[in-house]
Amino acid sequence: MSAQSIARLLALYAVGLVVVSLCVRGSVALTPDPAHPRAVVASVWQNGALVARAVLPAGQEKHPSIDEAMASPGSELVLESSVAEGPIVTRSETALSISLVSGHDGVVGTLDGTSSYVTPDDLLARRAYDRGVNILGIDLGLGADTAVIYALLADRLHTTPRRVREEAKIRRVRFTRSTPGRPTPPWAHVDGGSLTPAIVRGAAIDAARYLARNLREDGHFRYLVDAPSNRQLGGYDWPRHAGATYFLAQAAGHFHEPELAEACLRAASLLRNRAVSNCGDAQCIGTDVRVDLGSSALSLIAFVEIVRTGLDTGYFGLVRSLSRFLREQQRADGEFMHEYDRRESRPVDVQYVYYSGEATLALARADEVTHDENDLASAKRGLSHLVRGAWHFFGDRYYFGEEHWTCQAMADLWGRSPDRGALDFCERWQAYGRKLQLRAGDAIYDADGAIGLSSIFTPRLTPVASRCEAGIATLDVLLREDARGVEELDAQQRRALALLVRRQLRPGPVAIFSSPESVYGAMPGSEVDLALRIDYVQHAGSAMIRWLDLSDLARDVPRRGKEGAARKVL
Amino acid sequence: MSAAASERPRPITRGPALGFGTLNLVSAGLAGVGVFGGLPDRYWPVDVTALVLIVLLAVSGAGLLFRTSWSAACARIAAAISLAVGLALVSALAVTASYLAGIYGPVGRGGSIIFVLVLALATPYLVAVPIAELLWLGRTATLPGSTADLS
Repeated sequence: MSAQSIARLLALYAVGLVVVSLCVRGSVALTPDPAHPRAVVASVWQNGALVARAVLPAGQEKHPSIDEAMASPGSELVLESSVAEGPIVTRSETALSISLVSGHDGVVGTLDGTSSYVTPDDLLARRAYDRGVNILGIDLGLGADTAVIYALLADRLHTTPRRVREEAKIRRVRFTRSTPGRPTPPWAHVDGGSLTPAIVRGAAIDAARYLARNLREDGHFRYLVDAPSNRQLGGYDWPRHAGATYFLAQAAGHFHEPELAEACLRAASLLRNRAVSNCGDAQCIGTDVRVDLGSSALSLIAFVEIVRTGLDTGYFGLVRSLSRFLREQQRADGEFMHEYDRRESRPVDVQYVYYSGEATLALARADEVTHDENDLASAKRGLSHLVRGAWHFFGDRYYFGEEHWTCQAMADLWGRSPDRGALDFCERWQAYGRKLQLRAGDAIYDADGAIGLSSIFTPRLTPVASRCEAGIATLDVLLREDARGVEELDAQQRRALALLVRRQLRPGPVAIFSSPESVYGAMPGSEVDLALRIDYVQHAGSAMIRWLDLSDLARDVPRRGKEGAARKVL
Repeated sequence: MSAAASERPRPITRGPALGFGTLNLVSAGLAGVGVFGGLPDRYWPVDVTALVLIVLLAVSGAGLLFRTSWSAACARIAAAISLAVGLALVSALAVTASYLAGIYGPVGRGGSIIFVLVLALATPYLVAVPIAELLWLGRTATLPGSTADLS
């Protein structure tokens, strides 16, 4: 074959591929027209259950069955307007699964001349978005639960899921949602520019109250809650229990609410009474033969906060003992050994994510109340190792791990032992995060301030919150030093915080919740992941309080002669 | 030189045979690592296609290195199948990206970079090399063995 003929064939192929690609894109793309909805799906929910539904033609606002259902107390009316409709691939379960934009798309199924809708609220109520798909063995965290879609359509079309799968014509529908009887709260549309300390204060208090409300008498949190049903799901671990206790101590110290203090001490006493063991000469957290470093580190952070804020100074002895345990787990190079074998009474030199940063921060904080130079020295060595030896390879400027504890430790130590290398590391990490931070319009989701690579994946909120904690800590140091980079770092944190405030369940999609008051103030995993784990709200709440503290600091800065820095933040 | 003489296919020469033979072996190795080492699950359409491709590339690569009598025919088949697989992969990626862009809107800077990187990784081995090899083989139909081949 000659060069000319191959070139001709390739040119033909390229043109054909472009045409096919454009046709595929054009055939499934939607052009939403909110001003002219095709239909409005009116739903009445009571205690999280759908009790009435009617499809209203465009322009019609009333329906007898809806009016009747709304007469019952506790009814919530939701209008989901179909603003666009288009075809999707349904032959493959995987293709159907990834063909719905989470939280925005539903389907309409038609069989035997009858049509029925499955709306985003239907799928949210069953936590059927982002259930995960497997493509060539690679798990992706997106995709709707097709079994739920088929089951709902079958129920509404009075047939079997199998018949729906094989015979129904299914089309994608883009919905917009409104709740006529429940106006959106003022913070529902806050952004980085309009964020104020008052808004953040309200969000942080509600976050703390959520945890306090969801603490059982015996001191256990409701660790993982399915928001729609308000059922507690399985699982529990001490590191997250300790983290939540720490946030309650932070909030109790900041807001001076007795209920928060009482909850914090109840959660802390569970740790002290049920989780403390002997690890050699020191005490540690965990009752298994092998205990991990993270439980002790985060518990130490919580106990230090309890002592520091004066909630209960009786924890001082435990602070000393736990800090000793952490120091004994440290290697000569500053790295920590992340397990301890209680049967053999020796540390186990393995490393996991987070624990070294947690231990470093814990020792830095412990020094504030113990004033033990050994704690300070260990924290300094831990920090130095984290930002140098532990993260030193070709390409370390282009890729980072999760460093939210590291950079909080850097800020905590700054007043006692500033580490310029650590500050540089944290600034670079934040700059890296800034590159990944989405802006409004980058995705159909509530994206402004989120972290993500692509508009396909619903942004997770916990990475936003934890990075924000560290970002505010870094900002704190830059402000104190009146250094460059304050404005862009401040704007980055404001956008992140505003996202957290917008997505916090205050009140969230109340209609689909069986007990809205129980989950009020919680932080979901994402805008469609309504499983509520205690560390989600802990990271978000801690970031908020940290920002409030920083706002207070910035107000004080003029008195210390750094007006420029203060203006930048306020 | 007469027209007939100028159109006569040239013999396989040592340099290009060594070059394409090596490239075919490298491509076979990369396809093996990519499919059987990189993909965490087994899916017969992908695995069988990859296996056929790997065998053809490996055999034709070895044939070209040793300049066996069947090497040109085998290399031609391997190159044609590689090109077909390469174009199918490019088509699948382009159509998938178009579908996702239609569903989700623009796939974002990160998504675009990932697609471009996958294309950039596959295109040299599955499109560029097979085309170059087909062009070369199109002009060198003579089987090796004659003294002219050793030029």
